[in-house]
Amino acid sequence: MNNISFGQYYPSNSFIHRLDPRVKLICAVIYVAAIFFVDSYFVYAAVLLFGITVIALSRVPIGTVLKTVKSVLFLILLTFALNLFLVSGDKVLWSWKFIKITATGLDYAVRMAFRLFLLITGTSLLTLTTTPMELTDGLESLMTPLKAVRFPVRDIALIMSIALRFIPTLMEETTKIMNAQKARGASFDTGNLLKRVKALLPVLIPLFVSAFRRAEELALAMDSRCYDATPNRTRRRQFKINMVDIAVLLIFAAFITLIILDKYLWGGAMDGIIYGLIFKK
Amino acid sequence: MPIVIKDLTYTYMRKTPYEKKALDRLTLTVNDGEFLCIIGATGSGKSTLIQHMNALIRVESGEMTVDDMVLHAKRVDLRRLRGKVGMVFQYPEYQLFEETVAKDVAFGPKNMGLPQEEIAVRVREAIRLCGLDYDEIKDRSPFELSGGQKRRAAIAGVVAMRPEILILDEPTAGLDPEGRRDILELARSLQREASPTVIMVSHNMDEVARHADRVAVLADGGIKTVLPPRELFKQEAMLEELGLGVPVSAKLWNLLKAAGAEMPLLPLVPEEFAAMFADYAGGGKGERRE
Repeated sequence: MNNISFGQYYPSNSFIHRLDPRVKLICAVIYVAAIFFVDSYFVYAAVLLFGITVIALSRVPIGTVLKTVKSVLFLILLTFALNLFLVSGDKVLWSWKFIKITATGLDYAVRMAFRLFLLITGTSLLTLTTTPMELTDGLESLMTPLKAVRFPVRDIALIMSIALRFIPTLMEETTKIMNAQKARGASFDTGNLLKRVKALLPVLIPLFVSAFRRAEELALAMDSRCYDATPNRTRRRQFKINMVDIAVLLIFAAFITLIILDKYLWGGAMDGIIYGLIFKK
Repeated sequence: MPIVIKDLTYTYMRKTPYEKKALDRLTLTVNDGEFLCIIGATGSGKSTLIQHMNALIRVESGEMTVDDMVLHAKRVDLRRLRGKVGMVFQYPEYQLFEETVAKDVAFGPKNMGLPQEEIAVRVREAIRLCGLDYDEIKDRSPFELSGGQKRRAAIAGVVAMRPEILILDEPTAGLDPEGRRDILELARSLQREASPTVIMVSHNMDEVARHADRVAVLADGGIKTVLPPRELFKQEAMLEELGLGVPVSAKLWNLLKAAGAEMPLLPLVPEEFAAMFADYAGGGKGERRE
């Protein structure tokens, strides 16, 4: 139960941890979008270097970050294989019967796999360095303008924070119920798939029952504390952008500019230049 | 079949920032046929300890044997062990899941791979042993029973596996006084009729005093002391320092002693205290001393 590391907060006191969650959220969203604009291998290397620097600064062990990749490793490998074998091109590198690997295919496959890898590590860094509560508060703050179009920002944020708040609780509950059923001789890791799914019923039914009970109790507790009685609630944690936040945003903006410039202005020319430098064509 | 534990150490979430040592070189022997109570403040390692006893947590460091089964060995016959050691968790009613009580109680024996007829016999017997009316309750949904009945049905689910050792983790939590008395009565009758050795975790010192043959005090993942309740509850200061307490009768005895009136034997329950005090104060003739 404890090895689900994707999206789990890693406590530390680095300046990345202390950044305004809104800054981190904005950076993460732009990062995800920007990854799809990365064109040349040179910029891929630059993004990787940037990522390593941020990981080093966040003081999260690199192993913990890489663990998050493990859960999607299959997806990455699948993408790699699909691109490798299915993309056609002129220059054939290797062939056997109807299977063919082309230079274009290899190029695509490497890029796509690497892109996914950067995507996962980059976004997991957000959740590793930001507590779920900071995340929801940050999201709520960022979505505030949507209130103008009557979007229920506060309710959505509340639903999100309740959901996040109850993930560990339900996981703990699952462990408890699993232990209780194991004590009665249940086993969850033997038999074929159908058998295993059936073996989970004695866990899922009590889990649902308890989730509904908890939801009801929570609703009552909130009602009894007059939740939603006032239109404008204040919050305990106030966000203030400071100089460090601004500096981070600026550095990040410069970095994104490099990616965009590489794609549209230089047309991935950096690769050619580097290539030329190395091989002295 | 005694349980022998030696230098048991266990750490949660090893090699992460959340690392926590739950058991630290714990040594304990549970004798055949005794009613052993385990007490200790929250976080002292009670749950971790009892979960080791039927290998829900595997031995990480140290030694542990249950009867002839070696739990620190690489391979353990879990099915056999869990048939020997029955574990009733806190709020066991939350583990009920089947459509009918009879089916739910049958879950354990079914997992043990017993034949159909044997299961039917055991289910009937377990439900009866737990003080429920088999014919009346067997086809009802466990979710529509009363709180006390649910708990009995859940305990029956463990009893149906005929464990020789029964572990109860705070079996009276969340019950009213009558429900508490009933469940403890049940534990005693189960000890007489089905599972000769009972290990009970409890926070209620009056319950512990009334039922335990011996009491193990846990603190910081180790055994502080193991004593019969009559000896243990003389040490009020030590227990209070650990965030625990003593039963009412022991409290009164200690207060009387401090006031200069020492009765020879520490009474465990109010009835005993009343009798001893009458003896002491009235010289056994039941007269009042003015």
